[in-house]
This record gives sequence, structure tokens and C-alpha cells, in this order.
Amino acid sequence: MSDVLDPEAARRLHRIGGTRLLQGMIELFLEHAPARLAAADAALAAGALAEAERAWHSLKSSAGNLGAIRLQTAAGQAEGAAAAGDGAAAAAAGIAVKRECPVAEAALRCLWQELRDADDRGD
Amino acid sequence: MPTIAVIEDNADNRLLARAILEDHYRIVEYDGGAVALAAMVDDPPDVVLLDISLPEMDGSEVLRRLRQVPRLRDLPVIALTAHAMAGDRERFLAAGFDAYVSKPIVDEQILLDEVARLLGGPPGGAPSWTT
Repeated sequence: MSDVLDPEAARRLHRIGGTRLLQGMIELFLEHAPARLAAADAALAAGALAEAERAWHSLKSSAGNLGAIRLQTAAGQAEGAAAAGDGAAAAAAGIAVKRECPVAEAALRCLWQELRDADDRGD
Repeated sequence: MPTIAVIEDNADNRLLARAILEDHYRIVEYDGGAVALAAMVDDPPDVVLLDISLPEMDGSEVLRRLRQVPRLRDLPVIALTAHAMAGDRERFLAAGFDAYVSKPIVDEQILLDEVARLLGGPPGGAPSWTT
């Protein structure tokens, strides 16, 4: 799973704010990621590259906080293509974002559950 | 306790900034530039942490307007950006920001140090201009 999630990011967040912060960051990611993907899709379909760029930028930022490296990279590439005004490249990069996002979401759900289980055990 | 205004549209980034800073500072959060500018006139913070990629009014525009308000114009402002491209730091400092921190924040001490530096003392200390 380490190629999906950099464990150092989780350690960092845990060091800063414990399980509560780490779970909170995961919950916010899971809450907002679908809307950001949808916003990027809709913007791309409408030819509104600046709006797509913003949605991918937000996704990149949130993925980066949690160490979701592959998603962070894909979203950054899509953001860059949109910023450059290259709609075809942005669309292609957007496909990679849509492929990586569910993978990151699944890994983060697992991590969230592990944290909850550890909390239930009193670890 | 000095006040830090966090102007950032992403809730997760606001949560993280609060977690890093709240042991030492009072934190006030805003999710957009216009609402922040309106509120800060009445409740000026001691330092502003300002995201660059805000919707509707980006961070550079927020800074420009902030510098036009007499009560706010001298506030220290830290640029916060996930763009993280070569030359960003120099570009943002030249644009009038007082410091620059890139996202994701991989070392929380960098943010704590920048805030403390701008306040002229250790984390949690009163701003130097009040002592």
C-alpha cells in the first residue's frame, strides 16, 4: 500500500494532532473528493479549463496532505495541463486522476478503520 | 495570545493549520478572501496565513486589497501555496508577502518558525510591537 499512501504523511499528521486530526483529515478528503472529481469533469466538458484546474488543484492539495502520492501526482499533472490551456492533455490526465482517486479513497478508508480499531482496543 | 487568521478555502488545510498553531495562538478561519477582508477590519489578526489559490479572489488580490486598508496594511502575511514551483518564494516575496510556506506542509516547524519570526518572538509570545 506504500505506493498509494506514503506512511510518513500519516505519521506526521498523527504527531501534530493525534488520531483525531488524522481521522478528521481523512474524513474531509472522503467528503470532498467526489465533488472535486465531478467539478473537474463538468468543467472539462464545458471547456472551462480554469475551473477544472481549480478542482484538480484542491484534490492535489488534499491528496498531498495525506501522502496519497499517486493521486497527488496525477492531479498535479491534470492541473498543469489545464493551466497551460491544453484541453486534450488535461482530459487525458483527468482520466488518470479518476483512476487513482478510488484507489486512494480505499486506502484511506482502510487507514481510518485501522485507527478506529486501534482506538477501540485502547492502543 | 496573538491571533492568526487562516484564509483558505480547503477545509482540510484549515484543520491542519489550526492543529499546528492552536497550542500557541488564537486561530480565526475564513474560507474566502472577501469575507476575510470584511471581518479583519473589525477584528485585525496579528499574522495572516493566506492561500494563493482561492476561488473568486485569489490570494494575490486579497493581499493587494489588504494593503489598501489603513488598519490592515502593515499586517504580516504568509503566502501558502500548493503550486510549489521553482522561484515561487522570490515571486511571492517580491509581490509583497512577508513569508512563504509551501503545501503540503511537510515540516510543521517551518510554519511555526515563520509565524514566530513575523511576531518577533517565540511561539505564543506577544507580537514584538506590543511589548
